[in-house]
Amino acid sequence: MIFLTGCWNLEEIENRSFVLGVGFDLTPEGQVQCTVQLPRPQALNFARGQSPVAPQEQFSSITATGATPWDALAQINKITSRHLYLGHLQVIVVGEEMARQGINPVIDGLQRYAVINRRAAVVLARNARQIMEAPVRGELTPAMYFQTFFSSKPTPESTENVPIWRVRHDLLMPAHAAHIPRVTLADGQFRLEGFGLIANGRLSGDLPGAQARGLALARGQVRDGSFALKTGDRSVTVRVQKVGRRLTGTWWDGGEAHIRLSLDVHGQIEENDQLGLAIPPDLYTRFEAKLANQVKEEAMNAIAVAQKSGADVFNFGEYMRIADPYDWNPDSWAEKFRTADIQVSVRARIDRTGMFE
Amino acid sequence: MGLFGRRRKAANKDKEEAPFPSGSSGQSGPSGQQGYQWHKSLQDNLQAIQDAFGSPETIKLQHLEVSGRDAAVVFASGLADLEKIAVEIMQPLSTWSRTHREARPELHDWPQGVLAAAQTSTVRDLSDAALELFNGSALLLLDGEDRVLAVAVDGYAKRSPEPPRVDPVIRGAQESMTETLLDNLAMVRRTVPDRRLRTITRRVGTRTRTRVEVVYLQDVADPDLVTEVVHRIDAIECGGILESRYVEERIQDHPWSPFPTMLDTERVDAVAQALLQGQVVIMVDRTPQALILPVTFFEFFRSVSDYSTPVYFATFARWLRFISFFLSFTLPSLYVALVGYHPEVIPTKLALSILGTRQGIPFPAVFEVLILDLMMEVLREATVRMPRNVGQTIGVVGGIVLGTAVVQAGIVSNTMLIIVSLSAVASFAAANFTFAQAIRILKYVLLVPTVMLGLVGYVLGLTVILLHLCSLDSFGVPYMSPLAPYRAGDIKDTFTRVPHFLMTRRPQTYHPSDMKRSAKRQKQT
Amino acid sequence: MKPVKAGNKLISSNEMMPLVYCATVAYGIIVGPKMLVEFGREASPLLSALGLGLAVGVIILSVKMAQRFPHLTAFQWIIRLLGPLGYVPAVTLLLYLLALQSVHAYNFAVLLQMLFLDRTPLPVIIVGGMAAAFYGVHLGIEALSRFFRIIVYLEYLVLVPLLLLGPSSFTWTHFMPFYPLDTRTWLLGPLVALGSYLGYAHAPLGLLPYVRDHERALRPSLVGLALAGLIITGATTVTLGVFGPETVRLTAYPTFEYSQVLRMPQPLMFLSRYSLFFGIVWVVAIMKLAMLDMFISAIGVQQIVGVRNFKVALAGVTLVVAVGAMLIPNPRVGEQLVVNVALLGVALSLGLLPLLGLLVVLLRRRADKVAQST
Repeated sequence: MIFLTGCWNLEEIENRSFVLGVGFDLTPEGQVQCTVQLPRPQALNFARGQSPVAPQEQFSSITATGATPWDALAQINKITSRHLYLGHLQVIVVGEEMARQGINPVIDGLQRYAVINRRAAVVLARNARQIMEAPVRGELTPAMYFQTFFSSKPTPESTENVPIWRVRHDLLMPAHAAHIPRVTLADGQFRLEGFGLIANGRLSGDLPGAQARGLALARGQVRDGSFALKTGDRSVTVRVQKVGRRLTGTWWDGGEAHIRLSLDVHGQIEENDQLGLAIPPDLYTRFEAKLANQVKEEAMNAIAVAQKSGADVFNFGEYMRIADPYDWNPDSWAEKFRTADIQVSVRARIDRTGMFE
Repeated sequence: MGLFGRRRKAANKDKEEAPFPSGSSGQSGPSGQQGYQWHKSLQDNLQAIQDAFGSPETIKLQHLEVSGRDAAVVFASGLADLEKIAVEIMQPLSTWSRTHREARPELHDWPQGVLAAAQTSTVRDLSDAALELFNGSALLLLDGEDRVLAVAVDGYAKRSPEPPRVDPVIRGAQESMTETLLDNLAMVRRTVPDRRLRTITRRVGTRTRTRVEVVYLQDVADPDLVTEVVHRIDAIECGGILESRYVEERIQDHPWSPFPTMLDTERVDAVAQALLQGQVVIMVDRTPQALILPVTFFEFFRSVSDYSTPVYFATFARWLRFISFFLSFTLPSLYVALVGYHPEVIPTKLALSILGTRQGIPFPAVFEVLILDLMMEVLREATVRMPRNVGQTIGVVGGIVLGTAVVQAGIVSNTMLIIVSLSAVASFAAANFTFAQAIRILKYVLLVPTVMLGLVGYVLGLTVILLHLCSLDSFGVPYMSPLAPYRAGDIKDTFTRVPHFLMTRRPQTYHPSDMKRSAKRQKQT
Repeated sequence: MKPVKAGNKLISSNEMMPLVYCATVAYGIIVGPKMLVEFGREASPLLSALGLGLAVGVIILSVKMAQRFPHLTAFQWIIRLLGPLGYVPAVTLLLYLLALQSVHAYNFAVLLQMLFLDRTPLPVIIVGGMAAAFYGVHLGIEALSRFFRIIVYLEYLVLVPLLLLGPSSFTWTHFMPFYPLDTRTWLLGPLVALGSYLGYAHAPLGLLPYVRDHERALRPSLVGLALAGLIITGATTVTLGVFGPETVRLTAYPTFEYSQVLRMPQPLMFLSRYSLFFGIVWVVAIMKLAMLDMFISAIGVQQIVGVRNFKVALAGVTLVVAVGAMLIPNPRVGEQLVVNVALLGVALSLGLLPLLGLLVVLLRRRADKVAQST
């Protein structure tokens, strides 16, 4: 019987082309330009004892254009000798222009088939093709950088891993808002910092660099943030390792949403500018107050940016729904969020001082 | 019972007879001639014997005269001990002859204390005579008597107990059974000197008249089980029984199933343990391997060594065996299913590594599996057939050199080599060798649906195998006990080995008549 | 093994546990969570628990009904009770079962094709699955019950850890408010939940004649239902917590999707994704369902049509189901047929079965006489 049947789905692994990274850009003509990063199989053959290859030889990248993301991928399939395989997709880079037009086709198209990796990281870049073609060192292929980055350390303060399944989940929620980490290429290295805010499937807001930390704070997700505090002539650096977020009040008042957010910050002293001097208790309190202020400022700033772009990436919509489930209207939340009255109160504690007093 | 079920043949034909006619030798086989009469004349009897046996060189004749009457001793050289004949028969008879010059001796005069022999019996007919002669007895004939006496004077060459070749242990008895049934029975009796240890003797095979003993503990084993076993043995009709497997295949419940429903062992302590649990043991002459029945699937993962190694290690070893069993027949198929159909399940780095190693390999994964596996099997067969001194070299050459060379030549990938070798080695980690051989075939069977339908085919194949296992019975005991049907008390000796002080009850699986293992010392009655 | 004939007391009452468990969880885990979360939204765990309560009631009723005629299958006692008129409901039940199996065979083959084998022709998958199911059923109810018992252990071993890993990816706001917001959901929710459990409450009706100590069949059945309920409620909760109602609404198989996004703690990530285990559970679940259904319909064919040999009846059933499945032209028609057959099932459960129950009560004397016969 084996000879009569065709084993239709059996495809030898060497006949598959593992797509490790895919990037989508929008061309000036409005077409979708897709760039895929494929590992070079010869570079993967560690067992035969070959010497490690240079980064630019570890992978190859191919670009093609199509009317939609999936169409562009199909065009690439016409170029590659092997069948494109998306089961181990590591990263999806979305170009800014493409994101402004709408990321829904990308998010939808790249999850319809069960094979495609739902845990691929989605990142935003100015130019996706540049990211896909950059010969960045340090990993098997540059596309692996992203998964390793997110899985090997505690969440860095100004970026977050957002797998594609989570983006879809967020976009399907009433707020239709998601946040995507930004990646830039600087000095031949990737730099993951900042967020792009997506509202209604379109890129509508930006939290670059340092401001991005505010987003993480407001979401209660900072695990490892450094704050430099200065008061009078003393300065310390405090590392914040835990931020507890609670919504102490959510209510509707005549169609306007009111949200009260409380953040509980715990930090420890990382650096003391004066070696010999210990920190007296009243100075402690002043530093804590400074910390609280700084956290509040950053969080409020991030919330303001989000409100301006109408992207509720803090899940406030859900809390408002729970506050009054009977009168909840999901379609109006995007607008209501822009004008919501949101206030943040922060309590900061510096718990530990490390090995020194 | 399904496709592999077996109907009991001729099970009822002996029901009217008294159960288990006892006998020490040569009875109730299907080959007895009815109503044979020995002649009164010695010459006629000797002639009959000569005609029947065709005067071979090995049959020897010694004439003697006892108180005026002619007598003859017939024996087979090489099987009977000449010294014993001289000491136990010739000498006492000549002494008797001297003191009873005028007596007219009769055969029944001598067994009662005259002959120094420990064991004598009457020979019914010529085929009985053959049985006795070729088991080392000497035949004593007297002129004027139409009876023949057989005196046990055996002295044939036999092997003394050696350490077991299969399933050896570090701690525990190093005696394994030999080809001589009587010696084996003796070893078992020494281990379990209980007066309620019963044996039922049968002679099976029209030509070989092989002695088969059904051994059991009378107050522990299920009497219905014993009856059933004896009936099945009685129903065997064949020319020769050369090994216990010949018996096994004729009486087992599922002859077409790859899974064995009887456990074979050459260890005396395994036999003793089986008897104490209420199982029945079949011992076949000329075979060191005894058969233990009924058995469950999990019995094949138990080793006698488990009970003499520390508890935690024994439990760990059991789990190793289960995992090895599973790996041995599923690993190649799982590899094909994952690599060929669903590489998304494999971790990315491993998938890329496999991708790398498979560059330049000309064959598809399935062929690779088959090539390597068959090569492994060929090597295995070759090392088994080789004389011991050469076998080692073949093993090294084949295994290491060929294996490395075939990878470096780029015919197979080294990942596949690992998979196949691991699977091969794992197949022997399951406790029983026969079981391991039986399941080797499963590897290829599972490969077929996997190649056709990937993971779905793999699961369907496993499901079918599991269903098959669930349909098996071993002499009325469900094969998958104590897991299904669930027997709470027996679980503790299946997946774990609990300390001896907790094993107070016999396994319910074998329906013993007496559930409690005797804890206190019995009064000897 | 003894021939499979009603009245042949082949299995003990303990085996009702794996039978009911497998019957319930097979359908429930594939279809249940999506159905419930789509309908009940944030309240689905609560509705699932309520549905389980209702299912307990249904099981009790069906076991009691089956115990009324402990040596006869439903087909037999219906015909004996009502005489020639009894053929109408009996044949209806049989045809419903056959239609149900065909539709299931088709839809599950489509499911497998979509998840694992997208280039394999559907008939191959259907034939492969049915061949394996045929093998299993022809071995008889003893082998089947042992197989199901082992599957209970294996499933618990595999599913429970995977479900317990869900909470780390939860969005807790998905669960609130945990109660339904309108009366319609309060009333229909447990019924929808029941639909994912109830599908196979008729298992006891078909299998009690094979149970030795049928008086004690109720407790194991309830244990089986409870175990299945735990799994299904767990799956529902996890699906809701990770995805939320909106995403589930638009996802075809959210529980499978869950296995694809599941993240294990780093040291335990020995696989890239755990859909392997769920895939295995899915395939086994489909097989379980197929085997149980085929067994009961083969008995039905044997007893209604009068075929003497069980294997011949089984072969007939397999053929009819396979051909029926292959006649369905495309998945849209398949989905529509599922709805139709489900509605028919509801009509039978709410219409025919109570009617039969009523008749059993009214024709008491006759029922007693029938119960005595074998």
